[in-house]
Amino acid sequence: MNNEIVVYITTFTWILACLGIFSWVGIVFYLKSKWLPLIEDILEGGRRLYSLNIYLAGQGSLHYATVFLSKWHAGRMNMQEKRENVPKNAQRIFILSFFFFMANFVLFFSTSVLIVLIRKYS
Amino acid sequence: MNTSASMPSNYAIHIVEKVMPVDQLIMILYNNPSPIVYSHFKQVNQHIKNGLVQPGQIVLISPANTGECSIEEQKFLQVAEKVDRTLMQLAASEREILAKRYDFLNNAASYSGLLLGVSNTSWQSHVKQVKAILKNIERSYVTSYNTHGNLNNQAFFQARKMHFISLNNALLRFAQPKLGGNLLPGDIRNNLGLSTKSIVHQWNKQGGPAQSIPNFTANYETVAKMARNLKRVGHLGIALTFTSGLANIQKACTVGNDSTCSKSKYTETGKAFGSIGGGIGGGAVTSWAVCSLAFGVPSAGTSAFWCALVAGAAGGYAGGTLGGMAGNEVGEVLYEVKSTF
Repeated sequence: MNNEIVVYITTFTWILACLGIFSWVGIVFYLKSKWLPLIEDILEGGRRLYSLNIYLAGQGSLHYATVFLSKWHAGRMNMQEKRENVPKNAQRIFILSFFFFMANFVLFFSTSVLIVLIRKYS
Repeated sequence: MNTSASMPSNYAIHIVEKVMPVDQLIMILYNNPSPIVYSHFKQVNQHIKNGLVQPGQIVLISPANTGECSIEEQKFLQVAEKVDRTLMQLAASEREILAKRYDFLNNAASYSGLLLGVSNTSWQSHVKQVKAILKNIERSYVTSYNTHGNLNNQAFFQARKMHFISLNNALLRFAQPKLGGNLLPGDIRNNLGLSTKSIVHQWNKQGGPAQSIPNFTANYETVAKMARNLKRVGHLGIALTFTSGLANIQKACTVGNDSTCSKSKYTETGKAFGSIGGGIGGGAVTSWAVCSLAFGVPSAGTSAFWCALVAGAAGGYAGGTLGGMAGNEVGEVLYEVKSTF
């Protein structure tokens, strides 16, 4: 494939992934205001950490999605039984936002490395 | 204390932290200053008005044995006057924060504006939490007094104990040895200036239903003020990333030709978006991978907060750097495409 076409595809993907990451921040704002306090009430006995601010909420949304996705991780955090009390639709939103973020993250960083390398060595 | 690069090594610049007479500042800065030191210091630092130094002002510290004014000292005066003009745009409390956190701000500005935003916003959230608990404590005092006419009842003691435990936990998150540690409810009361006896006495003096605990309001007003100031400084951090990009565009458009100017608009914008996007992505993934996956840190206690802050800042910095580099290249590609058509 022509080097120029690769650069254009990479650039286009990078822009989309960057927009995706910014959109994910919007999703985290929604999760923080709507679901995180409820999930902390159920899983953490009302202890607030991830709903305190937007920076921690980002990590919190990924953390709880992992708890909902993995039985092993839930067991390790002592949340295997408690997670059954979390509404299923809330679990789905966390899991979807997790995959949305991971897809954009992987695309953003792989295209970042690719574009820097291509431009440096061409 | 910060030494300017354009000054000879035996000069230093001091950033004033609080209002004080200039003579007092000289006494603090110099060891047994002679009358010559006083007169020379005042001559060099002529920007100091009415014999008082203000927070955030910069003063030049010349070697104690200097008598005559050097060229560098004359140049310094111009810089100091510029700094004073900048300081006029800030409130007094903001100037103090600026002076006390100058090194931190300076370092953060050199590395990443985002980092500053992260640390200050986290701090601010904790301050907000403490503020809410303090309000609850006050409410339980007022409710008990209005309902029972005294503070000597079991319901009040229980509510107060519960609030003090929450306050203790919240203060522990600050990791401040002065306020945190394993404080007992009694100690917290002393720290906040609360005394049951004096409160009742003063309320009785006021007459009517109790509205607020005297002297107590001042405590959370101070905390609120701190949060407000830090919030503004936090926003400054985010703005720094874009400001640096805008400054580079301005520089290219002033110094370079049309194409350099146009190109820099693309590359600097790409760099700013890349840095922030990369910072967010890198920070979130690193803190999740390190704190949740690798260590499985529980949310109780301070470990999760500090782990998230340190791992998030490190990942954010790495992600921001790579994202910025890529954003620069992406901007260049877009500029080339635009130039072709």
